[in-house]
Amino acid sequence: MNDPVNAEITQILHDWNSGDENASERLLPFVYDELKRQARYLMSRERSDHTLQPTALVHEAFLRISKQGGVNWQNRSHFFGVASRLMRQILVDHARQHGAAKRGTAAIHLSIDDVTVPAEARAGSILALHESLERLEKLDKKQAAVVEMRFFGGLSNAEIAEALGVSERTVVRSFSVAKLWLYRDLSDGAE
Amino acid sequence: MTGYDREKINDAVADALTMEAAERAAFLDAAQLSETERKEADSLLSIAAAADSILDAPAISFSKDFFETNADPLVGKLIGAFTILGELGHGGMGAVYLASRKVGAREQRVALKLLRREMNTSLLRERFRHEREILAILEHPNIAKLVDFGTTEDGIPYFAMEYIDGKPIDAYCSAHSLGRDERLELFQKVCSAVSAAHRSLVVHRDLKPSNILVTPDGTPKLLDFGISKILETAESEMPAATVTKLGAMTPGYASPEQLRGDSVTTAADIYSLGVILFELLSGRRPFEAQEKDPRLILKAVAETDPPSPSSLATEGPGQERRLPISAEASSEAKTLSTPQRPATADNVGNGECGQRRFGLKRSAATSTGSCSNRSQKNLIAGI
Repeated sequence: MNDPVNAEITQILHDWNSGDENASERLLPFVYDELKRQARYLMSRERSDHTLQPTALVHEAFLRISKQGGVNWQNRSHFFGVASRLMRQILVDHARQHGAAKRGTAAIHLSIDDVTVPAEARAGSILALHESLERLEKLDKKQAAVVEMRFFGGLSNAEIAEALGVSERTVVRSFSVAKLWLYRDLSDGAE
Repeated sequence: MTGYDREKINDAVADALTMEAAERAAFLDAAQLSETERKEADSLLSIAAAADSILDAPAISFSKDFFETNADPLVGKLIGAFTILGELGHGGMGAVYLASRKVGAREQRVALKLLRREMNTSLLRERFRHEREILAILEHPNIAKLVDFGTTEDGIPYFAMEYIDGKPIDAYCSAHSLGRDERLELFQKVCSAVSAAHRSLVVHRDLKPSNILVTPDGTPKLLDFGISKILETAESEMPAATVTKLGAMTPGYASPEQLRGDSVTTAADIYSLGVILFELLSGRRPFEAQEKDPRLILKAVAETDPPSPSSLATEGPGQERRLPISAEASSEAKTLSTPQRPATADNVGNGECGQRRFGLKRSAATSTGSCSNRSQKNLIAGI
């Protein structure tokens, strides 16, 4: 007998895998609070120089909401994709809450070196990136997926390669070109 | 050469990026790109130095402060004609705020439910509208009324309900040290509210003490139709209905069919009413020990009798008169379509034993277990 919450989540994940565009939307109410709670909890303990693993947050959140039996992931790459998308949705939402103007500043604050830049400016850059990424998705799904997994999902190149079924070299090359495209798009939008 | 091949540009640019900047032009010259392709490659490579440092770490590693809690930014804000006074609570889809508006010279307080901004998608807006419409069709003195609804300036739907300044029914009974008869009287009003909802083909699906508030003058009010459902209508139009249903269900009060994730009829509410009645009379829930795991509740419901409420009673209700509570909990909802009389919310309150029996039978005063039929795996308990 399945726990109904797990069964429901598993069904949504299945729909997601079958290309249901609404799936991540449907999943969010289940995991949102838990994910936020996990994020806050873990971040309060992590030191700033410690690299956080967003997928670990997502994994922990799923574990907590599905205490019995666990959620039925199709495979590891399925999880990587879902985790990255959820982290993107949540970070973008938090960026909005930080009162970021859509086109905050001309400067692009998307580097670890920008950690001292005021939150509003960083939030503005994350929102702007989110929108650029939506444009890139229309042009090049693979490049956009690589960026989503690396930047929002915090995945390694090897994990991304596994998730997308491509070589690690392809991931590195896609990412290097996607960065240029996004940087140009962000600069254009910041006029 | 003409043409525009994105893959070709990507390949050339990726290769060029592995070289010293000075070597790139010669490499591109030899790469057989069309004029527009070359232009795009040059454009991208011209910002290579500046773009190098972006996205060099996961977003979260320099966005930690986004997750810091801060005071609710909505407090003090105006939504429609309502001023937000504070948060009353929040769930999966929305938050409920205490809000007020002026009506003539009088201040009207409402519970204002607002869809969460991050949940403002067409799918979830539809779910939210559904709850509002259910409230609009329910008119009963023991159901919190819909007062107003609308959309905020930035497109987030909300609705305002009658604000009930009351205590959950279990806490109310304890606080006022109500005796058994008073508890039953209160419970009967709850049953009449649930029955009214059922007559409108609305199943509440999340009946529990915290959704039944009792006002200081002793009127119980049923709240939170957030996961309720209109029977046999609009089911196909409501793809997200099951999402919040399962997310929000409360195992201790949920019927076996809900725990299993099966389809739900009015019988599910009858079951929950039975658990609430049990709790009001004994201070405990019949399967409290198993509530950590829905599977254990299901097993317990199917295989065992709950403990006798009178053996558990630690407060209020008198124990000298014995009343059986019974509920047929384990059989599927299909038993309701048998010729035998089905249980309704009203006859739970009136003490009749129906097909799903979780009712009171005053006349069977001392015959604990008289409604028992183990072959139907009824729950019987004496008080």
